[in-house]
Amino acid sequence: MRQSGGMSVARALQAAEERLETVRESCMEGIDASIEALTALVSADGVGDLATLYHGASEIFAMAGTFQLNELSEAAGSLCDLIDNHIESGSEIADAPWESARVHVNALRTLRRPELSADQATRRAVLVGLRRLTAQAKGAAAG
Amino acid sequence: MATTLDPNGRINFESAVVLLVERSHHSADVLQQIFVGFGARNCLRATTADEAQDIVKRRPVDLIVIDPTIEGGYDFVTWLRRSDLEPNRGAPVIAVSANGAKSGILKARNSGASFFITKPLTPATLLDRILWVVKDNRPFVVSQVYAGPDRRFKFEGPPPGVSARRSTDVDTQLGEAVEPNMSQSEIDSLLKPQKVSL
Repeated sequence: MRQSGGMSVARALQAAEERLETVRESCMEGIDASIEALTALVSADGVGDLATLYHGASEIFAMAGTFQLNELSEAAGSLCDLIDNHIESGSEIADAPWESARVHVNALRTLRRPELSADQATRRAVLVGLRRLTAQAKGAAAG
Repeated sequence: MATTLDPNGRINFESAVVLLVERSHHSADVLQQIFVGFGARNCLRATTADEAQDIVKRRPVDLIVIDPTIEGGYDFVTWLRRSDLEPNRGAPVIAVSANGAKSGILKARNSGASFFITKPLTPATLLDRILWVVKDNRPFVVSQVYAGPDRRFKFEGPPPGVSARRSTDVDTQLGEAVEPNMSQSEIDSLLKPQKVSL
């Protein structure tokens, strides 16, 4: 990496962005698959698997963010925080905020298709609502 | 995230061997394509800590990028730093994770990772941190409780009340200042050559 030759930083960054585009489609399919998996997870009766839920949400958070799907990434980040806060609180899995998790996953499904979902102001309101849910759940777990 | 990249600076990944350890193949694809864009020709991939162990046992690597939240991820870094695998035990390890909680960052640092980057990744952020790590000249520390790059970035000596742990530490408590700090003009007058009229 310290050897002479190579390429300029500007060229490297441009090339990396171009290379990322070659996997955009497959990564979008990966996001869709993760959302489907999360949907099944929060739809299941009884206690779900928090770790699987967290990893799925963090995958969407990271992938959507890299490809500038910022609203989707933010919603997934809120779901990560929701689960993380519960785990950090040391509460029982049975007491996990599953209803809030379902709301988050439904929002992910909607935000994945911004062209089909509501206008930007409404989508922003959805994100504010998700953050509020996560904050409320954190307060409930702490208190 | 702000970067300090010089667009005219040059990088050369052509002969670098990069090990990417990610849970999902989509995440690994993202990392690999970024590195290919940077000019890397030798990207190795592992999806588990066991696979990563097998690879570093078999061949030298120049850089490891790992999501430490994979099962055994932190332990892999600790194991590598404590291993006798030269030169891999000293290879830069960049931890990348969507979880930027302080507990996870400290865990990565204490396992011996060289740097921590929170996802989502962008090429600029990743390259900025790689260049930082490449220039990093912190000594490799081996103690009973830790092996890896020196975790101290500042040379401030041991915390108050803690004995010096290395020869370069000053083991004396500095007292309170006895006079005000000098102004910049006073400092300049001491250090800058001044014209004198005779």
